[in-house]
Amino acid sequence: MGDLIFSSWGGQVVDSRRGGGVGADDVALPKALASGTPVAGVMGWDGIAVWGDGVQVIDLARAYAEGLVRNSCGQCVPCRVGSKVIFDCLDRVCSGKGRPTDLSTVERLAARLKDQAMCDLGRTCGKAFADFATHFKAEVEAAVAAGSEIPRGTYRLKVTAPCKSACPAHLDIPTYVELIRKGRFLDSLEVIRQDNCLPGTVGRVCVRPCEFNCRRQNVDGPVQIKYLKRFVADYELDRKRPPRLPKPAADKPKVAVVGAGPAGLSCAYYLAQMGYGVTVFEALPEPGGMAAVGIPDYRLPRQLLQHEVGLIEALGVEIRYNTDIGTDVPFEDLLKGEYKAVFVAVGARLGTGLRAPGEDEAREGFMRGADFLRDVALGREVFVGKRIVVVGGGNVAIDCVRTALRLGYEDVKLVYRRTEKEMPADDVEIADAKAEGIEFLFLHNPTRLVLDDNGKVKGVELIKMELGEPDASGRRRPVPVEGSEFVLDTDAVIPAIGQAIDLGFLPEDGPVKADRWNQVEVEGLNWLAGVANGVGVFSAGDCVTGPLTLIGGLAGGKEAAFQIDRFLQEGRTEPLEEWVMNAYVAQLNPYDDAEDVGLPATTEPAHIHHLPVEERIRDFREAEVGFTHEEAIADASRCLRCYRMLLVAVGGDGAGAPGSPTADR
Amino acid sequence: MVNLTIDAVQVSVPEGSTILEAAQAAGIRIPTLCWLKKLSPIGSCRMCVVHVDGVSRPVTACDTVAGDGLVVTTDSDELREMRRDVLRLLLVRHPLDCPVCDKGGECDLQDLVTEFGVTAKEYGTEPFERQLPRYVSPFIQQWPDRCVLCGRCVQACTEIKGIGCIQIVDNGLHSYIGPKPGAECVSCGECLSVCPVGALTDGVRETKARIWQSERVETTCGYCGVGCQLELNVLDGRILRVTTTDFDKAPNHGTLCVKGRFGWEFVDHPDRLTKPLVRKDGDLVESTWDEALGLVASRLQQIKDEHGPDALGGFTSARCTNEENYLFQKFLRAVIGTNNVDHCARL
Repeated sequence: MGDLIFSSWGGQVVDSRRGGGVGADDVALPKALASGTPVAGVMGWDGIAVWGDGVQVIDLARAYAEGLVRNSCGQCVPCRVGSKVIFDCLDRVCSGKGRPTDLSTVERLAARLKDQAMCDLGRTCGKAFADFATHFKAEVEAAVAAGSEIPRGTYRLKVTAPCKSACPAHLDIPTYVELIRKGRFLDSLEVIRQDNCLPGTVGRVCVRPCEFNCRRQNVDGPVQIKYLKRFVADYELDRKRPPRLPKPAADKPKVAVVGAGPAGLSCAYYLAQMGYGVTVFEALPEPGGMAAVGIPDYRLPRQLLQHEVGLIEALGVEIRYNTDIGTDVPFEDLLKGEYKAVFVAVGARLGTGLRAPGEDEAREGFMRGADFLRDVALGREVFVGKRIVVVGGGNVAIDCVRTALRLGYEDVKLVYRRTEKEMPADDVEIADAKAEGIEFLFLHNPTRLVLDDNGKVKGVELIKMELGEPDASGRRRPVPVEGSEFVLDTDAVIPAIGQAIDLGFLPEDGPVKADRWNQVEVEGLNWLAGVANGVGVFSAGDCVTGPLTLIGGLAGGKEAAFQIDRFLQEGRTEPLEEWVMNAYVAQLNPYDDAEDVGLPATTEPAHIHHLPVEERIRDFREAEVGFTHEEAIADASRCLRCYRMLLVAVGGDGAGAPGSPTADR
Repeated sequence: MVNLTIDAVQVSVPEGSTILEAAQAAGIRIPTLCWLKKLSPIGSCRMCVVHVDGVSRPVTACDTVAGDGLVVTTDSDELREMRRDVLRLLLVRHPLDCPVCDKGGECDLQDLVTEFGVTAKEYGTEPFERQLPRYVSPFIQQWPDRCVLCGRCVQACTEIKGIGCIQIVDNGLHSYIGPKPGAECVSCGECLSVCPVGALTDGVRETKARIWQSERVETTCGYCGVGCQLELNVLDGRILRVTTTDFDKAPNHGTLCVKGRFGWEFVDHPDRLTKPLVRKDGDLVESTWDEALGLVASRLQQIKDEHGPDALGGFTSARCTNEENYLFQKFLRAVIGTNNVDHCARL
């Protein structure tokens, strides 16, 4: 079977045994891991594919069954017991002691797993075993007849789920949602805290890629994962339960973190738990970075954020506020040896301008979105008139209009150059803004500011746009309609069309380099920006990726922490095997929005409650009210627990004992 | 209300009901093992699979919400075979030690295996090793090899008692019900009362009897005023254990505390007082009720005459019934003439 090429992945069967000159390229799966390790075959939720030399498919199936035995949660009968019976059958065949009935038993129990298992771990494994029994019948029969041992291969195993794979921080969502269903709220929060140091924060403002990859939406709407996370975080706080966090001994070297935003806090959280002494330098008088001064309080109360940061400080992390690296402390000082590693997580704190005439001359009534939100958050005085125009289509633009409304602006307009369909802002945010009376002007773009003699904004000239051909992002490109310019009277204009990274603090000849987008350059999955004087400088978050998401910052900080640990303990950096497998899984895309899940559409997602509009727009009180216990449990009960398992056959590079898949969740 | 059709019967049930509840409302039985009315659905046994028209694979009736217009079939050759396979798989691990199991004769697994005609361990047998019963508490014995991991005990401990001191530990066929760190068992026996098989048994009395040999006598728990309903399992006039099998019965719906479930041995304890004792010359000696009550009445009368009624006071017990407590205060107020009366449950 050395040159066997076969694939049933995704329902498309490619089979070299039936001739037709099939080559490895006919299997549309990535042929190597991100670490460079070649992949010879896979068995997983979407079938079996083998294309490399020497993969023994029966042993591949045996190892897959072993993985299921180890990862079956033990709750439902078909998976708990069926997995073991399937494994016993395949193990016998591989040991040369196969029985003629073994294949039919595998086939029968595969069908049971597929249709009867409680969750998708068993169900998808059932599909894989069914594929095996269908397409490798002759091979199994021959192996049983020959009675000889089958050589064992080397494998890596990954358990994932569509939601978990889509989450940058790979939170173990099915597990914590299931714990909510079972009423074990604090246990659920403990699971969340393994991968996320700001559960209440993320539970309010996450862009929730998990929910967009939730299989329940194929039936009747996604599980409300974000709000469920908020629910358990609120439960702990409301009930005044002591947070369950480890009490580490700080017996390892000191590490400096630049920036107390999500990435910096996350990195500090993990380093402190590993025993490092962590000092965080923060330019602002309070923690949270853009989460604190970029997200208004009505979405994310800063008291809550500060409570969660307090828990990180309780791990022994020191945060030095009002200390701007570059101004108050030169960056070079961090490289002198007191700290054995430095983590740069300065985010993207600068607002970007309109690039329209007039903005440089404007003296009053013009402010960049990020600056506007920050000044409001810090209680600084901002200009308040009657009418305001915010330009942009993202969440920051929505934050700006809703903030302006709460400051006392009466006529608040949002101008966006495409249509509502293309808006990158969260649909929920858009709906909330509309409910609050914000006026949306789609297919318009500012061309210049209209100022009076003192540089005060009087209006903004807009041009009408229409949608042309799709651009690189797949969205139709907005094209100006010539001659359609008109002036809209307004007292203030705020562009919220992006943020930029402030790397002014980096010395020119230092170890850290900026790329052509003025983002910190790091080594792929290692987050290493450079080494100077033996001090490793790492960086992650918005300053590496460009302005992205809070959860992305947390994920980057976490991964960097593990690399810093490896750097300090082993003197090297190398991506963890887990991330390599995560990257491979992501390439296979575990979520299929066209899949028929096989359930009647008889539930609907729990709805978050809002304060009445007239009440909530008066000030910055939190606009949303979390789930009740009943709502949380009911919504958690909608989770389909879509765990799925991927077994990768790798060459004999020594990673993992032959025949025994290395596993992780 | 939601309207659906189950086995050609039109059913109308409140919104949010499950298919199983709808079937029950229509008088249609769907076989279950892990489901229990007083617990939220667990969904682990997969016995209650049913077909829904237009849905590509079977769904479990216990945790699938009923919807308008669903057409459900609860029985077919395929469904029966799926249920039979669940039982066959359970028997891979479950020992057939029914003759020595306390639950023999009233075991849900035994009943289902009989009903579905499973006659052999068709998927092979795990090498059987009798794991000695573990004593969860002095009152509760666990027989891990008999456990079907239905999860009822875990759910009951969490949902009904709010304790959550047990959980499923480990993975796959190695899973077992084990302690959950951070919460302590109070020996209430809720787990025991919901176990469908003999994986959790009563450890109080050595003497055992089959269910058809003993008698279940319904009574009210005497420990406090709540009035929990329980059944004394009686053989030849001796109590064997306390059970609660009727989960519909108010006020306790099958739930008891440690005293009610396990604290009954005093009933036939040899040290139990069966005759009144009267102190004579410094020693308590056995007497008759006439003598004892006569003595109490005369002394009470004497004290009242010499010192007035307020020299007397009465204190009664939570183990008395409501009626007894009423009579007691009436006695003190109307007969003795004092308001000095109190009750231990008020403290």
